[in-house]
Amino acid sequence: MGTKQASPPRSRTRPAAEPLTEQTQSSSGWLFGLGCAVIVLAGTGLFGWSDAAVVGAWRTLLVSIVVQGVPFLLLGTVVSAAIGAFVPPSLFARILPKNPALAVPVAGVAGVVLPGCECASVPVAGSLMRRGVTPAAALAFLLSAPAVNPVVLVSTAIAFPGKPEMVAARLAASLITAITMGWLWIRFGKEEWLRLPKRPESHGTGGSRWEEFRRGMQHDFLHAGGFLVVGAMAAATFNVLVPPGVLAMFTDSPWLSVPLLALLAVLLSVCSEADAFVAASLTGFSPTARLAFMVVGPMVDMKLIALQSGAFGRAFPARFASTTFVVAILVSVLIGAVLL
Amino acid sequence: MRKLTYPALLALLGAALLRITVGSEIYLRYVKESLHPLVMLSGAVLLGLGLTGLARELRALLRQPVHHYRRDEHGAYQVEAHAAEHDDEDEHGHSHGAGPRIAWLLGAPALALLLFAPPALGAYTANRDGAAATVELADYRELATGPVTPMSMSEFIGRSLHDSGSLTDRQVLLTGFVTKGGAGTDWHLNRLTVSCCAADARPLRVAIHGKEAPTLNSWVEVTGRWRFAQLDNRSPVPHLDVLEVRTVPAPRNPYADRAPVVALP
Repeated sequence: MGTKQASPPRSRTRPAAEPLTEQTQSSSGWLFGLGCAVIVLAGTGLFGWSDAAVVGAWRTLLVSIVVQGVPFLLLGTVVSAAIGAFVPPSLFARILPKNPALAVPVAGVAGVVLPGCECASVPVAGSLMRRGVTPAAALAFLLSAPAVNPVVLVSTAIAFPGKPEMVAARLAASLITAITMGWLWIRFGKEEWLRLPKRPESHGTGGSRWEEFRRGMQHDFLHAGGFLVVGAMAAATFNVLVPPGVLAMFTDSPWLSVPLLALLAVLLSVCSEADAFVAASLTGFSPTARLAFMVVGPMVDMKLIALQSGAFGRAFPARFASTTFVVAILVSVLIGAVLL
Repeated sequence: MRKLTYPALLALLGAALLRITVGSEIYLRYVKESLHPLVMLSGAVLLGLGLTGLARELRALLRQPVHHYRRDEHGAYQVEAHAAEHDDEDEHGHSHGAGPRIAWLLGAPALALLLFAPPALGAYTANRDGAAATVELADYRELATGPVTPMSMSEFIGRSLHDSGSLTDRQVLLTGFVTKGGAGTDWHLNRLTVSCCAADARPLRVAIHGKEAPTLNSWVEVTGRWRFAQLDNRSPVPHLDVLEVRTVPAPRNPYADRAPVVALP
């Protein structure tokens, strides 16, 4: 915005790359949503789901995921807008270790404080980056927060009664994956892979802090909310398309079952508070495969891919989410071998 | 005008969330009961945020001279004092302060909730492909003596799997909704249980013998006796010989698998 004020005559010509990317992103979101709708409609026609029951189920699932996600997304955007409006950038510089390699594990463990599901962590990680937190640390936080917070650990303990090793394995594998991803980002990550959309920060004239807070929140929530709907459409589509019986075919092969359940976690996008119950119900599978389901789910799923491409640019999840997927599987297998 | 639509979207979504939580239990079709205060609170916050935004934008709109909103080829007005207000850049997909275009997608679930509120998941989800969720071994109490024992579906399935001795020679009362049966059974009694939102719904199923199938997808209470059958541990569907079937209204929370409450005579 500052540049526009400085050079008004050129502001009509949109030379910058940034507006273009954001437009491509939102139109790709539209296309994706349209694609999902087409898949469902085509499925209705092709596979002979004669009545509209499948469409009805899809609609209910979509609405459910949005209703469930909105409170946590709102929490995330309140925290992120509060960080943007009220927390001075110097604060994080003081709290976090200067060395990024040390900041990563600290941020990963700090994920414990943000309760709730993964919808909240994306906007918060974005605002941390805007406040000068090194991206690697913010990304470690992004991955660990939905997986290691107390709410999720308690629900895991409830879902696996009498198996505290499952809770320990989930905590360990999630933290190790998050920290590994942070370190990988330090080693291989490039600044240009992250495209933080500009926020309506400091308008200079006449913007009180509260007005800044309100605008920040409105922008963040609407932006992330749109992507939440895209993710919900994708998840609802897979939910109605993937027949549960398909899974049973793979239960006997331990080598296939781990990546299969990890993939299922991505496609179904069950919220991290509930995924332990779903994992517990997948009784045919090895404990390691169920662990992989619970480690991958809060870190990579359709909802998160959509939210991340909204927050960090479309190119980001292609690299980051796919690497996280692989690392999470490897760590799960390792931890599963040690603890389960 | 465009900048009015974004706060309006917030208000719309807020109103939709309030509609399903205040004086109504529609939210139970979508999420678990304990999320009620959170959903209601977010509805109120979003509505408040949206209305505040609308008021502010309207006031700004009324205060400003009309020509300020006319598009200028060279963007000359953009550099004037009202810098904070010039966010009509959405045609370029780039927006300041107002909101991004993808936000329009939020309008779909909001309108769906306000206009028709999709029904709870039912027969389609319960019945597809025949897989049923299994029930882990729980600590089963000694059953009370009485002519008929009301039981939740998960307890009935759990006992059939792990403690079938406790079910022999006993009449149980179950409640659930009706779907078509598989091979060799007349029909199925089903429940969907949810841990967080409807997207993680898992089906519980009992195969029913001995009575005509009631209307599909309707809720019924059945009284019957457990019938011995080999069960698949991964996808258990125990069998029940039914003596009596009674149509009942859908329960308050369709995803809470509770034992039916028996009215005392």
